[in-house]
Amino acid sequence: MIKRLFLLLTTLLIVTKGYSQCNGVMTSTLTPVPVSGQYPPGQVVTACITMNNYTQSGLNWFEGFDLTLGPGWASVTPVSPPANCGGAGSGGQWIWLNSSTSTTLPVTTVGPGYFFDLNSNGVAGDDFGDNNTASCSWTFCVTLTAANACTPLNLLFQVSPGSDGVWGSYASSACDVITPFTVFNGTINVTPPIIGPISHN
Amino acid sequence: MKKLIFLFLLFPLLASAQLTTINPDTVCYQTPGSTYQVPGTPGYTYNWVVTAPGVITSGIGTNAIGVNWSAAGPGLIVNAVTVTATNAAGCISTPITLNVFILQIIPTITAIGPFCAGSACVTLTGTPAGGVFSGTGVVGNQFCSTTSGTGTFPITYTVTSNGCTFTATTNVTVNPIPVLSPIQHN
Repeated sequence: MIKRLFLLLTTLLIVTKGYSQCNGVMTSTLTPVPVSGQYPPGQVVTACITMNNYTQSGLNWFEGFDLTLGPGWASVTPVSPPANCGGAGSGGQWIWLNSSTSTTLPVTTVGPGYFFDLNSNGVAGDDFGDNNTASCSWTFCVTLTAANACTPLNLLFQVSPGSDGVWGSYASSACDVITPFTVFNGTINVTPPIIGPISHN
Repeated sequence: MKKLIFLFLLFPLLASAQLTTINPDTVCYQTPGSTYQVPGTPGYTYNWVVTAPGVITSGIGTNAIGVNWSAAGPGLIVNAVTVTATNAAGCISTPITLNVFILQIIPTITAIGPFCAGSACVTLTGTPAGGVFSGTGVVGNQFCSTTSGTGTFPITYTVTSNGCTFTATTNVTVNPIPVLSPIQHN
């Protein structure tokens, strides 16, 4: 009986996470993998994030991925955008923006990240998102570069998925709650140089 | 299996075999060129500081420098050589310092002579003890006119300490014995 209850609760938790409104199940890979939660100064890391099972609410379409970076990251560079949910013929494109401002209220500015530009005018905040009609899987990759620092700066890397009712032009508040996905939360591995004794020839 | 055990025991000894310099480092007085170095690491830059009147003559930024101490007087120079390393991230290492002792010894040699040819050997005296005499007519620590013959000869007393060599010189004169002609009767 207890075993059955445990299994039931576990399943519920997974289902809750997988099918929460305006969110999805996100997975990620980091290359190279961190060592003891740390990267050395100057390390270039390739991060790939996949979101499945995005559940639309109130016809909010999926607008984009907003990246949050800790102060230890010196730069982030786009590598590959997500694919259109409806395929190439569905219209619109995924673009990399350092900053994107919504036209729906309240006006919200996010970025950097990948955002969906439905009318292909280079602006993501003035239109709708990528319509999740086919239970899509969105995958994108970026490279992150750890700063050359002598202090153990934070290397937080979070990805927040947002709908067009928040970051686009769709007037809906059904998806106003955004839950960030933490890809990594470590520090720079500070290793001051060590030199040996002086020798005299 | 024996080989493995041997290598296992030998490896720590090999790994610890590293050239080091005793602190303070001894430098011979008026030595124009000394080389100081630390094990190099790719990507590091090295910042050396040498106390005046020492002068860095080469290798700035690298793991090995040349220093000219010829203007330094004898005695101890505290923190004479300091080095730090900076890696690509701009992190700076803990400094490593080395004291330098400028070694000067002034030997003396007691003057002897002049002698007459054929005189008995005379013991040479020099300070500090432990040096070596050399020159024409020197046999061990004695000067022998029977060996040198007549004339004036430089005798050198050489003292060696910590790889440094210092000398003192004196001249010894050996005069010939007068030679008389046979007595004649007029």
